[in-house]
Amino acid sequence: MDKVGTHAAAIAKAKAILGRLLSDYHYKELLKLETNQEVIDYLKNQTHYHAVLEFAEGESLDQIEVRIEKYFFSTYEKFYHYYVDNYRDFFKALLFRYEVENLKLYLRLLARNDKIEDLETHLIFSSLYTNLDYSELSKASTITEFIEGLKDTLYYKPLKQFIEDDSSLMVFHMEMVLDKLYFDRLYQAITKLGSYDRKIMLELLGINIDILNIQWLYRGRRFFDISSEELFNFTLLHGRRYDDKVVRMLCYLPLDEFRAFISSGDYKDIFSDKEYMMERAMERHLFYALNDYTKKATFSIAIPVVLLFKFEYEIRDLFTILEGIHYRSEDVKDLLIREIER
Amino acid sequence: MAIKKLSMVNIVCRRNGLDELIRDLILIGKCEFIDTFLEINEGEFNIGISKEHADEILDMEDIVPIKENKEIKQYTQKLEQTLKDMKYEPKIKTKYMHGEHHFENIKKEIDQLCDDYASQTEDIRRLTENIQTLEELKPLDYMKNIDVDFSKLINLHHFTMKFGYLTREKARKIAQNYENIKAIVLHVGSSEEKEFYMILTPKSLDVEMGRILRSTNFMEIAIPESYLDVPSRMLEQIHEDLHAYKHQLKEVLDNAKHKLNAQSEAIDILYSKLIMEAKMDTIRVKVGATANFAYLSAWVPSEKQDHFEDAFAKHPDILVSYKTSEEVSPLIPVPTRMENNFFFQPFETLVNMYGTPSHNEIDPTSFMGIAYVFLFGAMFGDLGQGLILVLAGLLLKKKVAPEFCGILTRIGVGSMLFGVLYDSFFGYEKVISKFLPGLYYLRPIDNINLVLELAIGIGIFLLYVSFVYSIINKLRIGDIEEGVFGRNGFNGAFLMTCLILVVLNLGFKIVILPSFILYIAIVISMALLVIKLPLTNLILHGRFGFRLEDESDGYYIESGFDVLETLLSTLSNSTSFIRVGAFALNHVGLFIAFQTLADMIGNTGGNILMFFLGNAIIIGLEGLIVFIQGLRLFYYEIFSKYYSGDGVPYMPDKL
Repeated sequence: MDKVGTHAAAIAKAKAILGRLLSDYHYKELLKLETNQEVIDYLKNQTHYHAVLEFAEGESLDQIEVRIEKYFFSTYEKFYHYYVDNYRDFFKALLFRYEVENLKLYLRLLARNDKIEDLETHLIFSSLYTNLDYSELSKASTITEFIEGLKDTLYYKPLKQFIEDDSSLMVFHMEMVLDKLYFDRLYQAITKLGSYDRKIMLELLGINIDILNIQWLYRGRRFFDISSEELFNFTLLHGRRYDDKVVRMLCYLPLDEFRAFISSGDYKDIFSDKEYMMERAMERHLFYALNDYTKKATFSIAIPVVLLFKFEYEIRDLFTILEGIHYRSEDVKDLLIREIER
Repeated sequence: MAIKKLSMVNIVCRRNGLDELIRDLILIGKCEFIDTFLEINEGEFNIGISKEHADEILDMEDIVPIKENKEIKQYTQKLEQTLKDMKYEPKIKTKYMHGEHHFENIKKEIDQLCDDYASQTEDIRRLTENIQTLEELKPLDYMKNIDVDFSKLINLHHFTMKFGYLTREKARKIAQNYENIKAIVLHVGSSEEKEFYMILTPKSLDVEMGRILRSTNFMEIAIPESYLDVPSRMLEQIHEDLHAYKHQLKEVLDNAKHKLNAQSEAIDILYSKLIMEAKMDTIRVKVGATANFAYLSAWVPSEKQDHFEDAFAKHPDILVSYKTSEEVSPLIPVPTRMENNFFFQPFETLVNMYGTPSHNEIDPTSFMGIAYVFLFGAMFGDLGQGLILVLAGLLLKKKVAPEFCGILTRIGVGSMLFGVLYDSFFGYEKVISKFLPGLYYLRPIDNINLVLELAIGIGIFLLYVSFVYSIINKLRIGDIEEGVFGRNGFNGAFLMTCLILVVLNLGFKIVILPSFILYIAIVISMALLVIKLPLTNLILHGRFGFRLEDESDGYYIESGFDVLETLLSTLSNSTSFIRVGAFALNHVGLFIAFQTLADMIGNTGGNILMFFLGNAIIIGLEGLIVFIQGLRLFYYEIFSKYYSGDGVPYMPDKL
């Protein structure tokens, strides 16, 4: 099918929504506010969230977060319905990520011996893609029980082998395995798109994979003491800047050389901040990389995809702001994915 | 025929009699239970306030939902798994479900049954497992030419030997990093997706190697100790054992089956009861309960209330009260119960494909049934081909979708009737008239203009009928704006009439009313369309203009365009029916084409070939096209006028 025919409706919609997303100005205003109620009122009166918050009078913060998430997923589902066949499948593959993220969240909490009973309400997932019975999963009290609860799902086999006496040490491994499942599925879905879309999406995916590989290699060696051979086997294929030869080389570089190597390349911003801010720095890199693509890629699936990512980052930033106020954090601004000038 | 009334029944019964009541109601199969709390929260639950009901009313204070009984699911799985192991398929029969039974007893019976067959299921599982293990060892075949004793390899003092497989992608990763892996990695063979390896590591590096292998998702194939030997001998032994295990499994299964068949009825009864119990549980969760009482709400057919009286009479201490659907809170959606007679029933599928009518709409099924048979017949009129459709519908009824076959039979009859009128039998004209000389025949190809005009005439008639439906539907829900002034209301029908008269006037010189009166009428009608909302407000609320809740922004622009669209669509709606005539012509034309081909071939063989080929193509291809065109006329020209189709179907809880 021709590009215009495939994408016209979706891109028109995506551009309309992109125009409505919050700007730096909005963020600056939001950061000046002092209570959550003020933030919610501001969102309700000044932004595109008025539609969802209109009837949210008197609801708790949790309920409001759920509302915003639903709003986000309804946008997702709209795009799903604009497309057919392989493009639909691609959107399904994107939605797969939320399931994976939810599982990672469970594993992290279980590893810290935190309670997971209340987690269910905080999970985000789309009704278009749910294969898990979260209420059943929430009953697990150990990682082993949790993984046993995943029997009959595609997660069981890859996770099972990491059940050990102390499975909490294996959470990083499990996260890598889960991410890998998602990226494999996404890669498969992308290869079935039209040639132009495939090219652009592989570029975007490549950036994402590079970033993730860097993160894994660094964290795996720095904090989890995982051998280079093992890490190399976990790393993802199809990176944009770093192919498997470079990745293998990176596996064996001493850490300070590793940092220097990365800092001299495309991804230098990842190590420019404090170590614990690395994850945020990566998201920020991806956010701005995506931003470039809205200008570069005309009539491509990239536009709706970029929109969805930016939208998601926006709601995550909003949640960060709300939480920041709750915990009276001073430097909320630095925790945001988006960079706000002073 | 048409949409039947539903009533809401509110029941209060003793808690200990609840199960039995639900069971009886499921077996009647006419109740659609709804969540009682929907009603209670709306303050709607109705038990009639009187002194003797004081207990029931007072108790409602601490009403709680009944929780799902998770055990039912577990026991269903347990029973099904046991029966599945022994390859027995239980039958579900409603006759086994009558009478008192308790889940506790069912549980005991299931436990008893599973215990009785414990040794068999144990054997079956063990043997299946053994067979599976041995099947997994088949890749040893890749090494059958190696002349080394595996028991020695496995039991080396300083080395660990592992045999297993990797996926393609991971195999590549290992290959890229060979120099850093402190092991001998020997590739022994590959199947479709798997690469098989033997891996040899010094024992001191076991832990490290274990981790590396895990990161590659290496699946080890463990060879049971008793088999360890030279590969060729191992394979021989495996083959032998596999054969023996399969034989044993068959024996055990045969024995089990023999034993099961002897008590098959008891098992079917048990399973049927369990299925009933599971169904009951889906209803129990919708019930509100206190320590002593249970409160139920359900939709039941209004005219079948006495049907239930018998069931209720059996239960002592039960309070029943009925409400009509109008008395129920608007927040609780009323389902739509369609009931049509034998002839129209299959057409419900076509209507539901567009949308289920809502409960206060008129059911369009009968209208659609008659008109669809008529339109299809008119477009595909042929006695012989119609007969084929009827026969196909009757013969395939049992095998494929019965609704679709029902439609096929009925439209086939329409086709046959028109076939007689068109004097067409398997494409040959003037055959019927030879046998039945005295009748009136209308051969489309001889009367092209008449056929096309008739088609439009029929279309206009159908549009008028749909106006009637539309006006009734709109006025029923009190929508004066659309029902009286709207394009699908009185005003729309009036406008269409005027336009038709103008066309007759100008095009055919048939003057029924002078043109200038018609023009004035059209202008008035269009003006009414523009101001329909303010006008409705004038009638209902005494003030011309908009009210607060109306959407007044851009109203006039929108309604102005609406007028333009109404004019265009009136014209296109009616001319759209010209296709009915066109297909009647096309049907004849297509066969003439085949006849010409037959003439060109020029011998009997060619004639016969073209007769069969032509008819097959016409029935298959044209039949399908006409079927779709008919649907299109309905969905687009007729349904869009008056039918919203956003109801919820009534689905009684039954087994």
